[in-house]
Amino acid sequence: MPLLKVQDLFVTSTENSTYLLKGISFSLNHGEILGVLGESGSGKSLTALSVLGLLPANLKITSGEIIFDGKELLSLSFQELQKIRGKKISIIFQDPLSTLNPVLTVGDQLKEILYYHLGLKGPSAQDLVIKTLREVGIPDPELRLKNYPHELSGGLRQRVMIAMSILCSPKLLIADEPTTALDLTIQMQIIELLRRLNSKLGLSILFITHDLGVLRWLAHRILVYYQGQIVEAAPTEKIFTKPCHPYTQLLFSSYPGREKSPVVVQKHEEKPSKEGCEFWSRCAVACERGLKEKPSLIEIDHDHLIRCFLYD
Amino acid sequence: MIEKVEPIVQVRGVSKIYHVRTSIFRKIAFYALLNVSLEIPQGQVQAILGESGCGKSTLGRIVLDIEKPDEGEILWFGQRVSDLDKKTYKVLRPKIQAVFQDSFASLNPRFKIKEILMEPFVLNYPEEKKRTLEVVSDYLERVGLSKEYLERFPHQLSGGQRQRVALARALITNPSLIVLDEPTSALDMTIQSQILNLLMDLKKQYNLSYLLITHSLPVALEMADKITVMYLGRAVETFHPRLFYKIDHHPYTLLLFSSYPDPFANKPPATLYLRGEPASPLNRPKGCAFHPRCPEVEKICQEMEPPLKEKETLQEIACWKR
Repeated sequence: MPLLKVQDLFVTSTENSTYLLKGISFSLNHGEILGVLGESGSGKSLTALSVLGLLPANLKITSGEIIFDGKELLSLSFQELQKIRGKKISIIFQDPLSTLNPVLTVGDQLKEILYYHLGLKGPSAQDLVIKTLREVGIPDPELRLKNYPHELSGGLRQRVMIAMSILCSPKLLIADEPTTALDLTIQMQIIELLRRLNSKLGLSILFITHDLGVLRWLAHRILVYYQGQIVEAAPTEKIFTKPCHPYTQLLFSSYPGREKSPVVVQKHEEKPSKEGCEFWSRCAVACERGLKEKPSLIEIDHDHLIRCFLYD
Repeated sequence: MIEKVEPIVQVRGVSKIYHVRTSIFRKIAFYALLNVSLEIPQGQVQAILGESGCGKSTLGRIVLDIEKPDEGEILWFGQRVSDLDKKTYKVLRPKIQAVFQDSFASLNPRFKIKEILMEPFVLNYPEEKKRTLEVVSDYLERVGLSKEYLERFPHQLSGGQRQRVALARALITNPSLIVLDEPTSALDMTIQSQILNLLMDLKKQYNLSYLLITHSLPVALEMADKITVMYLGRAVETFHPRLFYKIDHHPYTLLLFSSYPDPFANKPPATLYLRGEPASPLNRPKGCAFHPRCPEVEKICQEMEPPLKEKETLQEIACWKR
C-alpha cells in the first residue's frame, strides 16, 4: 500500500468558482522521492497544501480523497490533523526566513515542537535537537541553538528548517521549492542533504520544483503538471529519455542550450472555446479532437501515464 | 573571427565602494566592485555570471551611468563618460539602454503601454513627433505583441508580455547596447526560452550588443560570446563559452558548473565541490577571496590575492593554481 494516495482531488476558488486543481491522482510509495514539475500557477503548491489541510480560506476542496498511511485526511478534525502535521508529515517552504519565528531562538523553536508532539523537555529534548542539527550538517550546533534566525545565513536557515521538519522522524517530507531562494552553490548542498536523509532514514519526499536539473538527479518518479492537471507521470529515467506529452517536450526543449525544433516553439491562436484540452492553444500538434473533448490520463507503458489524444 | 571593431563600452579598472553603518559609531566600507575591466565590442554578448552579492548588478548600473565608479573609468564609444559635455551626453545616453528583472517594477503602473513606449521616443526624436504612434505600434509588433496591447496597462499583461514591453521600450531609442539585468529569472521556463530567442533575433536584426547579467550558467553559455565570472566584487575568470568544455577553469567556475546539474547528461553530476558558503562582502577573506571554500587551497592563497592573468586559451584566470 502506498504511503500517500491522492485520488481525484478537485480544488476550487470560492470567489469565482474556477477550478485550480482538476482531478489530481497519484500515489507516493514508502521511501520514494516523487518530483512534481510544473510552471507557476500549475497547482504544484496547492497539492502540497491540500495534503496538509493548509489551503487558504478562499480555496476549498470540493471532492477527492487523500489517504495517508491508511487514514483519510480530509475527514479528520482540526485537532486530529494537528497531531499529524509536523509529526508524520512535515513541510519545508521556499523562504526559510519567513517560516521561522523571528523572536524565538533556533533552540527554542525546535524544542517547542518536541514538547508539543512528543512531550519531551529538558536535557533529553536538548540532546535530540543537537543530534538533529548535526545530522543536517550544521557546524557547532550547541552554539547555533542560541542564535536567532536573522543571525544565520540562508543556507543555514534552510538547514534549520529541515532539522525542524525531521525532528519527530516523519514518514513524509514535502519540500516546496526548498532551494529556489538560496544561492546556487548552496542549492546542491541542500539537495545532497535531502538525498542522504532519503537513503539513510528512508524518508519519503514529495519534491516540488521547476528546476529540471535538480529533479533529474534527485527524484525517482516525476509528475508533470499543467494548469491543475497531471499531464505526464513516469519514472525519471523514462521521462528524460523519452518525454511523450507535447508539454513535457516543450518544457524540455526550453532548457537553455537545447536544440529548439521549430514545431515545438510555434504557437497557435487562442482556442475558441473553454472546452477541450487545456494545452491546445500552445500545443505543437494540436488536434481536432482536443477542441471539443478533454483527454484523460491513460497508461501507455508500464508506470507511464499520459494525458493526450496522440496516444489514445 | 578576430576583427578589429570599436568597443561600445569599455570598463577600465572600476571599483565601487559602499559604506554601511553597522552601529551608531561604526561605519564600514566594502568593495562592491574591485578593479574590474572589460570591453564590449559591437554585436557581441558579454555575460557577467555570479551569485547574489558578487557585484554584477552594480557593474551594470555603472555601465549605464546610474552609479558613478569610485575608481577607474567608463568609456562610451571610446569617450570618457565623466568628460562628456552635456550635448554629447544627451546624444550618447539613449544608445545604452536597460531591461531589468522585475518588469512590473520597471513599468509605470499608471501609464498605458502606449504612453510607456511613446515617452522615450518623443524625448529623443521630437522632430518625428507626428509618427510616434505608428513607430510605437511597429516596435510592439517587433517584440511579438499585437497592436491591441497599446491601450492596456502593465498589470493586465503577463510577466513575459511585460518583459517584451520593457524590451520594446529599450529598442525604441535605437540603442547600440542593452544591459540585461537578469531578464528572464522571474519567468517560467517555457517563457524564458521565448524571450531568449527573441533577444537573439533582435540582436542579429539590429546588430545590438548585450551586457547580460545572470546567475544562470546554462543561459550564459547559450547566449554569450564571452563570459566573465565574478566572485565578491572581482572578476575571477573570463572565457569563451565555445571553449567551455575544452579548457581548465577557476575552481569557483567549476563549483558553479556543478551547481547546475545538467538534466540531459548521461551520468549524475560530480559532487566534489560541496562546502562552505559565500563570504559576505563586508567581511572579505584575506588573500584570494575564494580560499575558504576552495578545494585546492594552498598557503599562498591565504596570503596573497592572485592577479587576473591572460592564458593562451583565450581566457583570463585569477588563481595561483592555474
